[in-house]
Parts: sequence; structure tokens; C-alpha cells
Amino acid sequence: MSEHRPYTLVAELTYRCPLRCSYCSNPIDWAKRKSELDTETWLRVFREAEDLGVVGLNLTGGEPIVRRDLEELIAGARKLDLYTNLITSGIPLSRERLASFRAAGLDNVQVSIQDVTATASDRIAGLRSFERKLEVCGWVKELGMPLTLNVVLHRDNLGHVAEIVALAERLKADRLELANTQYLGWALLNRRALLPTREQLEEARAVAATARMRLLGRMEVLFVTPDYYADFPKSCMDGWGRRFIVVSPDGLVLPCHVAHTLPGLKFDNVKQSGLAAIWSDSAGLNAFRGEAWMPEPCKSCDKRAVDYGGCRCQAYHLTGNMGATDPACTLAPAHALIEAARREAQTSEAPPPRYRSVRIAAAK
Amino acid sequence: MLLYPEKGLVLNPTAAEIAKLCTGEHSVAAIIDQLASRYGKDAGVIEGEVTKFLAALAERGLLREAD
Repeated sequence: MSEHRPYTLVAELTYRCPLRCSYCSNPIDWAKRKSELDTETWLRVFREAEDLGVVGLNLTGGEPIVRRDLEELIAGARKLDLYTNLITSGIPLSRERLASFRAAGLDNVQVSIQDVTATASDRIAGLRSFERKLEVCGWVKELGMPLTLNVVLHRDNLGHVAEIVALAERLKADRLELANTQYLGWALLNRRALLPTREQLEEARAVAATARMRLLGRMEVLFVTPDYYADFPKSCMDGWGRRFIVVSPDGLVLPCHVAHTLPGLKFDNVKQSGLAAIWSDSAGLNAFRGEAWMPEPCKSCDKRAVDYGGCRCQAYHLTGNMGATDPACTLAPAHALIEAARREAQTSEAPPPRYRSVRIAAAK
Repeated sequence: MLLYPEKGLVLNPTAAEIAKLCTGEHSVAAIIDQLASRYGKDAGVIEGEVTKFLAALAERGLLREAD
């Protein structure tokens, strides 16, 4: 099996979304990126990804269900026998449309909620949506699909993990993702409003660990530690350009969903070339593949094949150098930046967050 | 390869044989018997490995008892 055989295609079908969460992982200038790929191009990308060895497809965004051709895209993925996962906020969706996704061959639905009460969840989403999301979760199960419930955690909802687990049980979720905010894009802009204290985090982690053991075999409980409180960075995307292919709404082939915010890296577009040629030859994808690019302390580190030096985007957005060791690593020369952010979380009152505009670009 | 949300398990050929028999129609004992006769082994010998693998799948939420 090749070192760079991709397993998963992440298809960001659109940046449009009716919600406006303060930790949105879409680029801050998302509204300027308007030209979405058409149905035919996406279907070709799916085919070419399958040829490269991809077995799983994540349909995401933005909000993927604002694409009117979603049924057609799911059916195309089904024909290729890709395991297809829809990552959605559940807004705007009817039971009939969800049933048509199921009929087209959808395998799994991941619904995100923002908190455990309508008031708190809707405040983050910027839209009355909580009750409807719960209804959507019910439909997913009624239609016989596995349900993943996803909640992005931050200082305002980290204390609610026990209630979130209870809600997930009530909804009969098969999988619960308690995903601590990754501080890039909008979340980095709003870091002071979002970053929890260590005490908050440890408490939540303990609650999640207990739930995980109790629910073993019934519901998978996943707790993703924020790397601001980990000793070593995450193996971001399982390594740059290694297991994941991300295609942005406008067709750029990326190693992750924010890599196009790194200046000077050249990424190629599926509108211009085939995916196989891009996957092997893209200058951007080759920039941080393997170990040749690594500085010390990564280069001689035992963990270099475990975490691949961490996140390039985090390195750039915190230090200005995308080739630096991820500051989240305790061994990184720039780790003081992470310590300073943690101190700030400990001592300061959080300012109000800045929200992405809810304005939805005109439908294609 | 056994695929589930965000993950996949690469099964070795024996594990894949076992997984293929988990259709909801065979009891654990029947699966063990079938594999034993297919590979000319004693059911008692392979029982431990088969139940261990099935338990590992169940723990991941990938296997349920049929209704």
C-alpha cells in the first residue's frame, strides 16, 4: 500500500451556510469564493478519487444540503461504492429530502448541535435551529441510518458534557463527537471568547471518559482534546497530503480545509487537471509530505512519524512560519505562544465573539 | 476493509471471512462450525479467536445481535 494512498475524500460542496458559528472552520474570506464546482465536475472528482484508492466520502461545507444536486452526488458516490457520510447542521432539511438521500445510498449522517439547550445552541448558530436539529436526528434513525452527533466544545459549553451525552443517548446516536475547537480561521479570531481553562477541560474529559466506558458497544464517545492543552500536537489530517484529499467548493485540491490560507503555496484546481496528476505532482501537496521539510526538534524526534510535525496552518497562523514545529508541541521553540494563550484563558474575561456573516451568497 | 464513519478497519483474510458470515442469519456457534469445516480445523481450536474478534467488533459498535 503506497505511503500516499488517500482513503478519504472530503468534498466541501459549498461555503454557503445559514448558520454563523463563531468557531466556523471555513476561511474568513469565504464570501469572496463564489464559483462552486458543478455536478458533473464533482462526479468526475469522486470517480478519480476512487481510482486513487479512496473508500470514504465526507460531504461537507458550509452546509452541503443547500446544494440542490445533493441527491445526484450521493447516487454517484453510491455507484462507486464509496462509504458516504453527510456532515450537516440539519438546516434546511425536510424528512422527505432526507429520505431521498437515504434512497440514493447515503450511509451515515453527522448532525451538529451547538449546545444542549435551544437558547444556548441558537445563540451560537445565530438562528432558531435547535429543535429542528433534534427532529432531523430523529428522522435519521427512523430512516435506518447511523447517526453521529457532533458538538464543538469551547468555554461556554464545556461544562455541559454530561447533558450532551444524555441528549445523545436520548437521540439514540451511534457516535458522539465531542470535538474541542481547533483554533484556526474564525476560531482563532475568537480565541479569547472560546478557549477554556485547564480545569474546565479536565473536568469535561473525565465526564467523557466515564461515559465512553459506560456506553461501550452502544455509542462510541469520542473526545478530541484541543492541542492547546496537549503535550504533543495532533497528527493533523494523518499527515499532509497522505490519507485525506480535501476539495474546496471552488475546486482546489488541498491537504486540509484551511491550507489555502497559507501564502505562497500553489494548489491546483480540478477544473484544470485530473485528480491523479494533482495528487502526485501538486507543489502545495508536496511541500510538507514526508520528513524532508522538518526543522529541529521534529527532524530527530521519535514522534515525527506519529504526529508529522503537527499542523502547518497552526504553525503559520501563530508564528508566521509554516515550516515551523507546531507551537502546540511542548518541544517547539514557539510553545510560549500557546502558554500565553492558556494564561489569558485563565485570567481574562472573554470578549464577545465575532460572527461570520449570515448572508448567503446567491444560489448557483 | 470494514468502513464506518470517519474510520475503517483493514481486516486480515481470516477476519474478513468471519465478518462476511455476520449477516444476521448465523449464530456464533454456526459461524464457528462453518469456518472449522472450511479450514479442516477443530471447532474448539478456533472458537477462542472467533469470539475474541466478534467481541472486538461489538465493542466498537460495529456488530449487534440479530433481533
